[in-house]
Amino acid sequence: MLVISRRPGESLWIGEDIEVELLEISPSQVKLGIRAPREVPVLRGEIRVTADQNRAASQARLTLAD
Amino acid sequence: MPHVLTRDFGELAYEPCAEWFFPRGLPGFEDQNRFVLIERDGLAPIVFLQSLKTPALCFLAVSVWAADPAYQVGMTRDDLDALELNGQPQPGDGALCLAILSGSGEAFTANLLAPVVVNLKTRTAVQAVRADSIYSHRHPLRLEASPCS
Repeated sequence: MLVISRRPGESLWIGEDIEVELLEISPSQVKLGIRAPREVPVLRGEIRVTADQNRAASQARLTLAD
Repeated sequence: MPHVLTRDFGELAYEPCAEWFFPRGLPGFEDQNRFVLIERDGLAPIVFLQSLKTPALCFLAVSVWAADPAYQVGMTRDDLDALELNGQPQPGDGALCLAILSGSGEAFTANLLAPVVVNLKTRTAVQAVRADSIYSHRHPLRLEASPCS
């Protein structure tokens, strides 16, 4: 994993058109601002995990006794 | 009574109050807005969330408290507002909290990171993805009595 240190107000770019800015730091949270084209999905990590888990869960079945 | 074509049980009649509306769908299934809760004799505590739109789409689920009796619901402000709830749901109040199951046979896991929460008064539902990391999305499920064959 690439690790970059940033201070509030500083940003970094991913490719030509995605900018991530560090807005604010508090003891337990950082606030990020993301500028990206509309078609680029931006998801909280846990929502991405849940989407993957839901797709796996849709295959789950109970072994039913007939 | 309305009918639904189910993945696992053929066509079933259901009480209109068992139909839930997910305004935002579920993560990964954003276009699925209507599900019916199906409970079958002898299979408790496992219930079925059957899509009304897609017969082949059905989730198995259990109450979060069947998966973890000490579970503390932790919905975000957004999700609480979406369901018009004033506080975090507790066992036995007007909301139902279900953990979706993955796996099969006797090795199910329950998604305690993102329970499906339903306001039973409005029958509106969200999959309330927690913003903390207290609970696993793959919590091993141990049920008292196995409903399986």
